[in-house]
Amino acid sequence: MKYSDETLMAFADGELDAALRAEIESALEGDAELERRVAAHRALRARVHEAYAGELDEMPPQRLLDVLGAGAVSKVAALDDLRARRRERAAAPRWLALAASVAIGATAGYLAFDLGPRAQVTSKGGVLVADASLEKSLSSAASGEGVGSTPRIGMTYRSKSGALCRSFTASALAGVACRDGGEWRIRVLAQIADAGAGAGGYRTAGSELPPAVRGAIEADIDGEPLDAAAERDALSRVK
Amino acid sequence: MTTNDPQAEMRAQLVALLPRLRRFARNLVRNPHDADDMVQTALERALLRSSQWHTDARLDSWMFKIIRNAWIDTVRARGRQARVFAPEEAGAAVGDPVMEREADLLSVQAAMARLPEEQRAAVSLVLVEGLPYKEAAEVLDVPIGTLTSRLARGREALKAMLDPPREGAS
Repeated sequence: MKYSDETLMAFADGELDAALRAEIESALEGDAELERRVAAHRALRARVHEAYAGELDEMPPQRLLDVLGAGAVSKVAALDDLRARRRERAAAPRWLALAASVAIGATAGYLAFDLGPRAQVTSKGGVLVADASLEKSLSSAASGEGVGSTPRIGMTYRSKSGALCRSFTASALAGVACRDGGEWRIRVLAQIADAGAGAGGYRTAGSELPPAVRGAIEADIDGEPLDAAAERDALSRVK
Repeated sequence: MTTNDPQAEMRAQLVALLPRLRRFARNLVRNPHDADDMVQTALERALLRSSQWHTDARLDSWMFKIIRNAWIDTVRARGRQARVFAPEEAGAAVGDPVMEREADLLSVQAAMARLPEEQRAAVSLVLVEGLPYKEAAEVLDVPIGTLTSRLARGREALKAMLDPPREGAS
């Protein structure tokens, strides 16, 4: 045995310096036994790696996301996404996109996020913001009504940091957007479990909102939702 | 919404790393709840020490090291009762015939659980997490020669458990 098992292991792992690597590569020519030993290392590596790949699809518990300030993430959306991921390998799980968008604000530029043609939200420099149609509703519609049939605004409130925030439902999504830096930034976004049936307007923080959205509002609302007059006044100052 | 948070980039990357951090922690302690406790401790420590991390350094290695140190603290705190992973559960699948994929995957984890801690940590960092030897050695605070020998022994043991030498027809 000219080459030790450790050397062949390092070769299989791509850890050898160029000279030794080239030497083994040429030794492999026509040496079936050497080839078999290298292949065994590679096969074991692949097998172990593959055995643990599935764990990456698991949604982390909320308490860990909380440590990172990642806010409420809808398990509904996450589970839907996991199912979708099994069908088509997406770049990043949706729980990640949602958690990161809520947690990080402007810097998460590495997230590619495409919710499809009826999205209502869009990614801008890594921040999830309302798209044009949702933006219009958020800036002008009174709670309980939408411009056209969708999106609809549920309620308006001040967050603990003083931002103007509104809950909304838009096609299959529900969420909260807050006015920040001249745009409506999505604070939390969740899939509505039964999008077809639940599309009515929400006049209050109503029980139809997904728990993740309700929870986010409850955690962040400063006092009570704005009444109609206060809401009109606040919206008139949205630029 | 904080947009100028100096930790924001690190937090963004940590959110993305969470699944791998949990996976590594579970390879150190089998009980998933204990593993998440360890990850939580490590995240809190990382945020406190965020100034020590430089953006050109690998955040995964840095975090694995913090987790590994949190693990050592736990082991010390609990004294020698620290074999927290559940060998009976984990070992249940060892020796099952590898007839289908499901069984195959289970037995890799079961075999891993039977490795001595040092070898399991080395195998986990290099084969599961894909760290280069140098990074893995750094995480475990050992010379690279020690890392490679643990890795080689761990692999040998795994191979023996997963592909036992056949004595007759199978």
